[in-house]
Amino acid sequence: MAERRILVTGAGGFIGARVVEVLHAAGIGQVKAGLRRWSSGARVGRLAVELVQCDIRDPRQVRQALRGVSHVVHCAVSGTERETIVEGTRVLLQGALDAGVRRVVHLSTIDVYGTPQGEVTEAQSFGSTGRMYGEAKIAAEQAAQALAARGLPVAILRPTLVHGPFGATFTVAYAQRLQARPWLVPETAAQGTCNLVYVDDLVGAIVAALDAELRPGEAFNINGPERPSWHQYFHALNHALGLPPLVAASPRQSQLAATLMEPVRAGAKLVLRGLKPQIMALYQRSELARRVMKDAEARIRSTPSPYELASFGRRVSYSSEKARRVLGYAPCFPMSEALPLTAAWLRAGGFVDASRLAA
Amino acid sequence: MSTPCIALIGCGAVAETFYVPALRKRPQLLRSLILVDPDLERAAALRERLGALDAVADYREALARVSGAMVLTPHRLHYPITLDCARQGIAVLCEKPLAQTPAEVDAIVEASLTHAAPVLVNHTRRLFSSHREVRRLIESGALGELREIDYELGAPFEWPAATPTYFGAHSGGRGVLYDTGVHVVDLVCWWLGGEPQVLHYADDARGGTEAVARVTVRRGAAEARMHFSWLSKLRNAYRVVGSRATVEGGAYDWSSYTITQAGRTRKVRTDRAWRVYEHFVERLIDNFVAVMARRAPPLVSAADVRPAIAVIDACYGRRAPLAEPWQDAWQRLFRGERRVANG
Repeated sequence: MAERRILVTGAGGFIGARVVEVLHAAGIGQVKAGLRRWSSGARVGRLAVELVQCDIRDPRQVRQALRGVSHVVHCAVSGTERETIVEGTRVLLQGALDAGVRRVVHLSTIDVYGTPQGEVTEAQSFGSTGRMYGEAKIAAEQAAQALAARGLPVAILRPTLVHGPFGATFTVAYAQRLQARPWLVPETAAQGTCNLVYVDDLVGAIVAALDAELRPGEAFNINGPERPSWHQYFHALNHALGLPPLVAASPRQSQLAATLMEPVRAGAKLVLRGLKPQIMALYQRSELARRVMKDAEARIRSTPSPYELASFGRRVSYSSEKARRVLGYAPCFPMSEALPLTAAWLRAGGFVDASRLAA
Repeated sequence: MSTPCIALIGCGAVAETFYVPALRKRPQLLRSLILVDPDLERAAALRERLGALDAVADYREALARVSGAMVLTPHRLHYPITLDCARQGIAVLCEKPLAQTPAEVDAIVEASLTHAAPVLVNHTRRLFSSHREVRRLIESGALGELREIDYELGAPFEWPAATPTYFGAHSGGRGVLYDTGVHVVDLVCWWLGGEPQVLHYADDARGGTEAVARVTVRRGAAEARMHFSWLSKLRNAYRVVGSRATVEGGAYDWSSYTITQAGRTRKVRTDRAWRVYEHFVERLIDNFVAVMARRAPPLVSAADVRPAIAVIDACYGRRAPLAEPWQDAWQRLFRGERRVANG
């Protein structure tokens, strides 16, 4: 097989950067790390890989980035811009079709299923989470399918909750929450399934999908090797971090906190969006403002939203049986293997306050 | 007195973020400013916006017309451009880091003396009144014998770089230590009273530029530990321990610190003349104008920063990898397969 030249979009992000690191370290191909902004290149800049500017909304940049590329791993995403997710995917995948790449691995999400219950396989139809991200990822998958119908060799991976070093949502946020007591998630509210997949297991699935014999547009759920409850995950992460045992608030208390914090959270987002420079200037100038803002941020962070509380109770399991069968996917990072690595990273990165550790 | 003609070399993010706002408040300087950038369109657009004198693509085109140059280019160009300017008798305000090696600093100092071309370096942290006060406390013996310094500085890299020059091959393999760390290494050398010996250095570079670095140095009885990151927010604070008292402060708190002595901690407020970070650039520019007119010495000269450059160069010379067990865990994915590991 000719040497792979692999463009990874979103190489400045949590998953994209890890894909670059593993592809490069394992010698799987020559890697081009695609960055929307140069400023997001600090992590992948540690490696001897080529950095290219690749804002996936810009056809010119995409064309340039795809030059000489045989494979694409599409990780670029945005938590706030629908256009980046949908139009960006369309521009990138059209560019890949024009460039004749051998395989595109498009990273989607289980959010395309909405909020189902029970066992979910790839046969399940799309559903709504009521949130921009899930809706946009459905539209992006539809764009990928349309191009697959025109011959683009694209494989679609739908990872579950990706955790591990550099993970903001399911790693850093919970590590911070676990340190900010009181712990507002009672055991009874956290009996739902926590479909965690460690980032390296996801990268293993991506590597497998690069060369597998597949029909264009084939989709795969990518889940971890076990199905803990959220309660088990929180306690395992708490233990890995060396924090004192969790003592949870009552269900009534946590529901009340979540409800009361909603308008505060929405207001803070709105204010930050419209007045960020003024707020930053105030933050710099006034010690009192600094204290108030830090306190508000800590409270917002430590309080789960009603949406999250509902997720913690949902019993759903995403099957990756098809990925095992077709791609040979074999996840090898259960929590017992993954969390010590994550905890080591969190400690080294200054995310763990030593004064909060258990005696 | 006539306004000196100055070349502003490098019209990227540093110029836009810090220098342009300060220069706008000094319209007489703007009118005699020549903007220089290899991207002539960018330089010309900035000239238009500022009402500056001229815009050129190559700094050498401007040198015959100026008595001063502000060097705001990618790091690797600081040394050759500063040296070139100094050798032509042109005063320089250079962004940090001034150079890569102590030998390069020596060449600049020599040219500066030979051609009467003063060189000022932007090491803003030396201007913080809190940091100046820490130095005074150390020098005066108020802390007793200096024992330890700890300094952590880190935040996700968000500098709006216009080019990829901070990373990988573009940076010459020098990352957070050289870019951000140089501020703190310089400060620590200043507090220690001279160039310390490097005891330990480790970073996370794997063939590219480091994003996390840890340094330990010693001078006399004092040991200093520094931790830098472009990947995560660190404590952004310092602690200076003496035999009689301990001083602590925030890395960006330029107008206060706390001192603990005999079990009692009190907060001390220092000069609060500057309220926002940009004010320090205004002070540097004013100093530069005074330096050009021979009315004042540079606040921070080329010779002043030599110890920091020497420490950083020594660090890169003894680079060791940071322990990062999460980094190599991918090998479990390919058990049984033969993989050639890079980096």
